[in-house]
Amino acid sequence: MKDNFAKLGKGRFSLREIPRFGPILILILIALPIASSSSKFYLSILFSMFLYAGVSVAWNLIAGYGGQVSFGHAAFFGLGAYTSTLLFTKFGISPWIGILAGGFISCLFATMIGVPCFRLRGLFFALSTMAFGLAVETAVINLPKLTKGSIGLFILFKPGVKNLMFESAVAYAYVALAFLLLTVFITWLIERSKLGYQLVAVREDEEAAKMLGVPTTLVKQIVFNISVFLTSTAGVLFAQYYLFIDPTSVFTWLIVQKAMLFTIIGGMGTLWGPVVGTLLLMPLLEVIRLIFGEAVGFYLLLYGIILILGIIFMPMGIMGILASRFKRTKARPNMISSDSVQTVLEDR
Amino acid sequence: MLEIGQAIVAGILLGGVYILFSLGFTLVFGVGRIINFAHGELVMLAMYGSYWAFILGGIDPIISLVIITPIMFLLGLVILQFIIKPVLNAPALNQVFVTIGLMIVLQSVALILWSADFRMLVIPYASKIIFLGPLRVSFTLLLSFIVALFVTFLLVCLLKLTLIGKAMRALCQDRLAASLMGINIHRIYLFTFAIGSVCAGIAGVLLSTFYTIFPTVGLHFIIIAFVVVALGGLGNVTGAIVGGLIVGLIETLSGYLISPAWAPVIYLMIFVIVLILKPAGLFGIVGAEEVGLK
Repeated sequence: MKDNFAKLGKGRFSLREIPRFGPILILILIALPIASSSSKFYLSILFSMFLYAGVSVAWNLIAGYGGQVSFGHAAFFGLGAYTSTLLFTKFGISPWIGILAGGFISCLFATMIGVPCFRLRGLFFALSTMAFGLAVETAVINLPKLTKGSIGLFILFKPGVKNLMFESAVAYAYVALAFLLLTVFITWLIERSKLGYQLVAVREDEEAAKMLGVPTTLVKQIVFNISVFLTSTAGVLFAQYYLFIDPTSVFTWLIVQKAMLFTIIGGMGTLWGPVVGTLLLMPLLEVIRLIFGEAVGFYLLLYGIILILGIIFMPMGIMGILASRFKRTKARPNMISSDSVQTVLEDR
Repeated sequence: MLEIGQAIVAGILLGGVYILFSLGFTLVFGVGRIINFAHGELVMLAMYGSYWAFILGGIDPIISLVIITPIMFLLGLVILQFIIKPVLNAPALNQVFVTIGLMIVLQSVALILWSADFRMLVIPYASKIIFLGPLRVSFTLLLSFIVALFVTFLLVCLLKLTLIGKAMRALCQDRLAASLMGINIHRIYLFTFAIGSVCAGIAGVLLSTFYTIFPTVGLHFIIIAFVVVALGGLGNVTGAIVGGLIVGLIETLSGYLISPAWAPVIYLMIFVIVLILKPAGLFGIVGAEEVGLK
C-alpha cells in the first residue's frame, strides 16, 4: 500500500505516457510547416490559438485540478502585459526580464488574494478573484500618470531576440507554441507529483484532505501562484505581439471567459483538455468573427451557446469522456458529483 | 456639510433600487440554491425594454412597467425551464458556468440588436429636482426609490402572508422536508425564478430613468448584487435590504469624497473584507453547507 503511494508521488517519466502526448504533438507539428508558407491572418490565428491554449492550461491548473475557479485571471494577464511594457518603454529593460518581473508582481498579488480568500470556499473565492480583477482594471484606468489610463501603451518595434520581437509572424507562432508546451509540461509535472495528488484531494474533499495532513491552503496557494505566473507570461507575449496594450484589451473579462469555455469543452482537470478545446473552438470562432465582424457580437453569442450546451450535455468535456471510455487513466470528474449532494440531502 | 447630506440622501435613494434587484437575486439563491450570474443581464434587458417603449411608443417608463413586468415573468419561466432545469442537480459550479453562458448570450444578443452605443433615456421630467428642506433631490431617483420600496414591500408581503410565500420560505429552510410536506418543488422554483426576474425587470425600468444603457451594463449590477448579498448574507431578505442601503451609501459617499471612478474599487474592497471577516455576511447564509460555502 505504502509502496503504491510512493510510486504515485514520484514524477518519473514512463514510456506509457507517450501516447498521451503523441497525437496532439503530431497535430501541432503538422500545423507549423503550413504556417511558414501561409498568410499573415492564418499565423495570427495560430499565435492567439497557442496563446489562449496556454492561458487555458494555466487556468485549468487551479480551476480544473484544484477546483478553485478564478474569475480574475484577466487581471494577471494584464499585470504581466503592463509590467513588461512599462519596464521596456520606460527603462529599456528586456521583456525577458519583464516576464519574470510581471510574474513576480502577479504572484505577489495572487498571494495577497490567496492568503485571506483561500479560507473561503468555492464560489466566494471565485467572486473575490472577480472583485480583484475589476479593482485592478479600475486602478489601471485611473492612474494615468503611470499607465496612460484608457489611452493605452505603445511599444516601439525593435526586432531582436533580446527584445522578444520578431520580423516574421512565424517566429511569434513558435514562441507561443513554446509557451503552450511549457504550460502543458508544467501541468504534467504537477499532475504526477505529490503536489498534484494533494491538489486533487483538496478538490475532491477538502476536509478529508486536511484530516490526512494535506496543507490545503498552502497547496492551493502554490498552484495558484504557478497558474498566475504562466497567465502573466501570456500577457507579456500578447503585448510583444500586438505592440499595443490598453485596459480593454488586456483586462477584459473575455480572457477568463475564453479560458473557461475552452477548458470546459475540452475537459476540466485533464492534461490536454484545454488544448483540445482551444484547437477545436478557436478556429471556428475566428471564422465566425471573420464572417460577421467583431463588433456585432455573433461570435460572443456562439461562445455563450457552446458553453451552455457543453455544460448541459457533456459536463466532463471531450477529454473527460475519452478518458472514461478508454479507462487508460481513470476519469476524474471535476468538482463534487451530484451523488454527494444527494447524500448530503439524504443525511439531513 | 450640506453636500455630504446630499450624498447620503442620494445614496439611500440609489440603495432602494439596489435592494430591489438584489432581493430577486438573493431569493433565487435562497429558494433554488441557484447563483444566477445572468441576473444583471435581466436588469439590462428591462432597461432596453423601457428605453424602446419610450422611444418607439412614447410610453412613460413607469407605465411601461405594466408591459415589462409580465414579459420578465415569462422570461424567468423560460430560462428556468430550458436552461437551468437541466443542471439543477449538477454540481454548484456547473450551474454557475451555465448562468455565465446565459449572461454571455444575453449580452451578445443586446450587442447584436442594439449595438454597443451608450444610450440615455431623456424623459420630460428627467432633470426635474425636488426640494426636501435644504436638500435637492433628483425627481427620477426619488420616484424610483418609492416604486422600488413599494415593490419590495409587496414582495415581503408575498413571502410572509401567502401560501406560496410560505412554501418558498419552507424550501429556503429545508428542501427535503418541504418536499415531504407535499410542496411541488419544481413549481416553486419556477415561480421564484420568475419573481426574481421580475425584481430585476422592475429595477431595470427604474434604473433606465437615470442610468446610461449599454449591453454590458448588467455586469455592473450583478457585482452590486454580489456585494449586497455578501454584506447581508446570501438568501437573506433582511440582509439584502440593509446591504442594498449600505452599497448605495458607499457608492455616493465614495463618489463624493474620493472620485466616482474609484467607487467600484471601494465597495469591492469592502466586499472582500466582509467575506474575510464574516464569510456568512451580517445576517448569515441560508443553506450554506449545501452549496459548499461553509
